[in-house]
Amino acid sequence: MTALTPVPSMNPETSPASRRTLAHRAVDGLARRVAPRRVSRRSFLIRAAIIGSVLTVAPLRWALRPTSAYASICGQGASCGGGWTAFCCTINQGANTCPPGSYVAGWWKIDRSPFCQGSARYIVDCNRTPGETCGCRCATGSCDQRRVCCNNFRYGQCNTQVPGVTEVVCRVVICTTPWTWDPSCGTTVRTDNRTVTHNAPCLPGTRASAIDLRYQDLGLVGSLLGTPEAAEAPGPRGGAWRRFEHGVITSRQDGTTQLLTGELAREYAVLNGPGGGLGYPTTEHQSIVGGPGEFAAFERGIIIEHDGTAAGVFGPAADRYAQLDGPTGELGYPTTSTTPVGDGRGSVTRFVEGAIYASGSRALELSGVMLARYEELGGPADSGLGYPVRSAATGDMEFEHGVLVQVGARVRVLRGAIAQRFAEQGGRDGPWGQPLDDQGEVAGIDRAEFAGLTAFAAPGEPAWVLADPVLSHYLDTEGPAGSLGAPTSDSFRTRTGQHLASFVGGAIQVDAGTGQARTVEPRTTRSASEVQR
Amino acid sequence: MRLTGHGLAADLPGGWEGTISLDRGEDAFALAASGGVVRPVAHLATFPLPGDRGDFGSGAVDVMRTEDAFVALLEYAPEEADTPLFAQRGMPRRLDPRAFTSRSLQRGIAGQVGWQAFFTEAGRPFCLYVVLGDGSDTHLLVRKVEQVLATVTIEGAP
Repeated sequence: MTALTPVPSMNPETSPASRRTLAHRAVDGLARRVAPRRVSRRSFLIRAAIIGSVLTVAPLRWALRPTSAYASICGQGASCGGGWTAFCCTINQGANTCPPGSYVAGWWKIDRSPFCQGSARYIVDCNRTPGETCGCRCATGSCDQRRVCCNNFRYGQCNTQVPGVTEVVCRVVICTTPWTWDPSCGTTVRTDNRTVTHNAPCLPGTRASAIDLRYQDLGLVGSLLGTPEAAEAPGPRGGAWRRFEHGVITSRQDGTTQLLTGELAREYAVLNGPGGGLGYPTTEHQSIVGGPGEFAAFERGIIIEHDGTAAGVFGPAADRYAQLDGPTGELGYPTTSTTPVGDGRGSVTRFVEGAIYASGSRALELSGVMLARYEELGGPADSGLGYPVRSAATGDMEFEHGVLVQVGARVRVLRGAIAQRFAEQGGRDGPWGQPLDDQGEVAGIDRAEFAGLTAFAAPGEPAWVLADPVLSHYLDTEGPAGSLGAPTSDSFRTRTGQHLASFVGGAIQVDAGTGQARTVEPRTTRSASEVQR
Repeated sequence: MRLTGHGLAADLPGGWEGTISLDRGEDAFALAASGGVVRPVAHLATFPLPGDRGDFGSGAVDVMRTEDAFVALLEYAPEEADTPLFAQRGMPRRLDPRAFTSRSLQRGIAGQVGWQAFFTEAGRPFCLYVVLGDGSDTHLLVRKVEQVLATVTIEGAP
């Protein structure tokens, strides 16, 4: 492999590139008069950008000293004749990485660097790999025209398994300690503060953000992130985030950054980054213990990536998912991220083995036939049941406005007052037993059948339950559609042996001995409670 | 003048000056907290050494005259001893003037030539870096450097 381009050797100290170029003079002209004559639109924009950068980075120095705009960007010794080695991003298509055919050979630090927000900056030498070829030349960057493959020199803290000294191809810049950036580097500190001004247009300037510096340390366009897809965007509480071709970097107000890549990052961006339901990441990628895939944790949730799919679980659903042991628990891996239901109240998160519905601070899982029935009925928005509120020990699922009861492979639905009383009485283990069918409606009155009894509830009224013989007589007289209307009491047996129940339009009395039933007209002075007594 | 420190010593002939020190950088302590280790650096020169200079002599070599020489002896982490880079045994005290080139410099400066060697002595890994002010007169300057290198002693690691 010979990735380094061999070029005829030259003496950089006398090469044309070491002298001030036409571009240099043109840009200096622009510095004197912002409106140049006879300059193309593209070159004008490039030059104007450089002037703008200079005015941003070092306005006073630029104004007061007889220095060129390019020198202000690239620092001292930026010409080929200056004797220093060029930055890798200048010669490596913008990548702040060692080019192919070179290796990390050593490093030095610069104290209190303005390019690293006042902390130490590290210059890492990429030396020619033994066996590769690389001719000494001058870089052709707009102002970083330092040497390439000329200085046969080695700092010597990295990759000491490689013997000998070869030419420095170029220099990588980082703001993190080299031994954490590349484990092949040792910790022996070498310092050269004389290089404090060295820089290049392809590197972050003195106003770099924490995200800029993290991206720099990862290699800029040569990193696994690829190229930026958007400008840095503000996030909540003084933080920020930026999207790249293959990932996302976030930063908090305290300057800490987190890196997300691949599908996990893509999903985070879809969920609106730190401004969305997840908030800021609190970890980067981590392996899932006990199962395949990766996850990243966030302030209010988690994103899990598995088999090329990433989904976020956040809000109350995340707490519930954690209680259920996450991806290794009963719900398995998430298949779609937490999504608003559309009723403005809650959300649903789907998993391989079920779903979590959440509203307010409450979240509950549903699975199997129970989930299928709930969603067939229209879920929280259209079923009339609202959100799940409690999973009963019996297996019944209680909702804000109803109950789902699994009976064999079927799931029965009870709603409103009937469901409330059913649940209060202990559900299927209570006196009513299991419902025989879904709750229905007759003449505007809710009705649900159980083994040997039927519950009724008029709108806004409590549920009452009738059993034979009163129930049979009630149904024989057209039930709720008849003149009696809805029950206003349960059926019951008096001490004298009569079966009784009151209704809106009267009462039914059944003689226990003869089985004879009669309907009693309403007495204005008798209330339902009196009948019960 | 005898120069000693950190297990290194040199008897400087007349006209030489030098220092043996640890890292002089301002961030050294902060760096130590994150795992960085400062190790001895000896600078020997035939000219006044400026205070603001890099470990490999930047800032110092800028002010060298053609008749001057600069020597840097820098220690590395003990675990690097005898690795392929530091495989050479013993500090070179006799130098080949022909090995000095204008390309073997940390930073190319017109007229200057340099030479660099990594080695292990007394179980301690080092880099020896020499810069001569005049590449056209290496024989004389190399002899000058050899005089001072002959006095350098390296004690074994404690």
